[in-house]
Amino acid sequence: MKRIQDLLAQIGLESERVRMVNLSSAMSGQFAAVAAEMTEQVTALGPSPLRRAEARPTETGEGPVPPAPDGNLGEQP
Amino acid sequence: MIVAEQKKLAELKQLIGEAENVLVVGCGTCVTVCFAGGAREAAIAATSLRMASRLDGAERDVSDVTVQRQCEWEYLDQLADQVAAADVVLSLGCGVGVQALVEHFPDAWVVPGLNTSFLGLPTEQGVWAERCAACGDCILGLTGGICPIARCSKSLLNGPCGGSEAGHCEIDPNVPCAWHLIVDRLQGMNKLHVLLDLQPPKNWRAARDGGPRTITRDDLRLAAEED
Amino acid sequence: MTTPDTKNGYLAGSNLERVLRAGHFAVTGELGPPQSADAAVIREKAALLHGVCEAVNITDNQTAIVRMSSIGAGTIVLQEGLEPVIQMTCRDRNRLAIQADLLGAYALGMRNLLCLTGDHQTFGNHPTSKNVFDIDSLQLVRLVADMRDREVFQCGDPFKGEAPRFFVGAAAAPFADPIDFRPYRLAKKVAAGADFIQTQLVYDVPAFARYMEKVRELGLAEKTYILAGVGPLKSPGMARYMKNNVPGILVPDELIERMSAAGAPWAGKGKDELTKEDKRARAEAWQQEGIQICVELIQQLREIPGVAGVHIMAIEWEEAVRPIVEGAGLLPRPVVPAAETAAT
Repeated sequence: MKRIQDLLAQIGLESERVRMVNLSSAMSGQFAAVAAEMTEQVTALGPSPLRRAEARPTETGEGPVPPAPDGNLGEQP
Repeated sequence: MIVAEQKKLAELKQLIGEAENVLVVGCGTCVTVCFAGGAREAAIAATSLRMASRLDGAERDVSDVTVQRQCEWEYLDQLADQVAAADVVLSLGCGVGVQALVEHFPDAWVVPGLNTSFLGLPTEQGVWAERCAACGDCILGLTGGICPIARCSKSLLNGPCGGSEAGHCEIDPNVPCAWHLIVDRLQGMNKLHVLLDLQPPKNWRAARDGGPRTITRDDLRLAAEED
Repeated sequence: MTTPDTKNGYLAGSNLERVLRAGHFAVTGELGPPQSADAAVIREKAALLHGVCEAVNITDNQTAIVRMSSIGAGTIVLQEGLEPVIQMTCRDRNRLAIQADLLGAYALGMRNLLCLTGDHQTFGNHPTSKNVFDIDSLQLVRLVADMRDREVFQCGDPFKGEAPRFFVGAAAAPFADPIDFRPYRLAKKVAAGADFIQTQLVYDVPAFARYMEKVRELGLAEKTYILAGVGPLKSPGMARYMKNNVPGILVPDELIERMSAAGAPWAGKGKDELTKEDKRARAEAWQQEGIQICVELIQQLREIPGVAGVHIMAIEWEEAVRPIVEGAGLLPRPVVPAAETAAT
């Protein structure tokens, strides 16, 4: 698990996005708590940078057109 | 077997440079057994590079393939098309594998994804230790089958030096003193007398010091048979 | 001991060899060259050792830290009227460099050589360097003995002219592991041609006496001159450090307690309470005790059959050597002129 977390960090992703927890079937309370905590953590981290990267222009200028500063893709009033 | 370690992703990225088509080539022999460059590691390396390049905003096409033995040309033939299509071949073979690819595909740009470390064995799951220095003139018969060339930090032939303590080497408490092992073993087998003769200076010419080495067996050469 | 076959009856004719052959209890010292090109440092240290020992070892990149070369510093020591024992390790030179340096050292007037394996370079200030270890210390002993006795290079070729004639030394680590093998390792060094032996620091005399018993049993004491290594303790901390951290050194608790007791007048005070004067006085008290212990060690070691002398290691504390030698009743040092025993 540590190796995967390290690898994620090397790739440029938050290592907190992956976690392994050992629980028995009798530990439903703990399961719910861990799931809630994990959901909260990942929500706080926001969408995967990989998803965001899909919409980002490449350095060579090819790829998707960047949003105009005052364009529709900006914040909704 | 040959024991290797994978380079860090940052170095792999640097080695790949601006290439758009990357082919990661794993090897199914030694480096598979030491979890450095087998099919699984090749797939993980390729995925990691794809993800990282996307995050860097310069998405690349990274694919992977693993051959049974990267150090034999006949196993490399099957890669011809993939290698030809790639801008860079990232070899997860040992240093021999990298060079086999270069020699077989002279037009390809091949970079190493591993640091080839030593000839050794796993002493427990997850731990590998050096055992042989490939010195070309084996003396294991004089030392009870424990190699001081590979395992003594100073490659002493008439050891142990004064830096042996409680069974470990002066350089690191985790490194066993090879000469302590040798003395213990020979003592236990009533063969300590073997160590009392002065061993003369070693012929290092048989090792790398004599220049790059080649072994030619005329009885096996097809070219020789044709003569 | 190899039978001398030179005209003057000596193997090398060095002062150290003459004193040992005349049957005197010999004293050698040690001088660590500076981490600089400063000749004055060598001259100052040489002055401190002058007249108190037969010869001084000049260390060779000790603990793998780069210093002025042993042969370079040895040349300065010679100019100062002191005899050097050149230390040579197998870590930094292959057999070509070793032999070339030995020819140069002999031509410059050096006559004693101590053959060592050398500390691993990971300890020093160039831990990423490549080591050599082309030959080991025993092979080096044989190489130097062959240069003198067979007048050949290691490869077997004869010299084209004068052969270097060194008084050949080797080190012994009586308490290093595997401890049972140590007397045999010494036997190998003697068989390889070691004329004299300098041991690692001895603080545990009974343990050393047991080692010497085995050494005598193997008939080695008659074949080589054994100089027991001694060194003054500087503080209880140093004593504890050596006991716990240096391979092959036994420091009995009794000696550590003696060192601590010497600092007892200041023991009650906390670190902040000690004035500079207090610290200086305490250091002095420790040093006095360290020198006294060293004197007693020499006196005890002298009683062990087969101990031909002492090798005093007081690196960076060369001032201590004179009071130690004086305290042990070993002054003045004997003078054995080269001609006196020429007939033997």
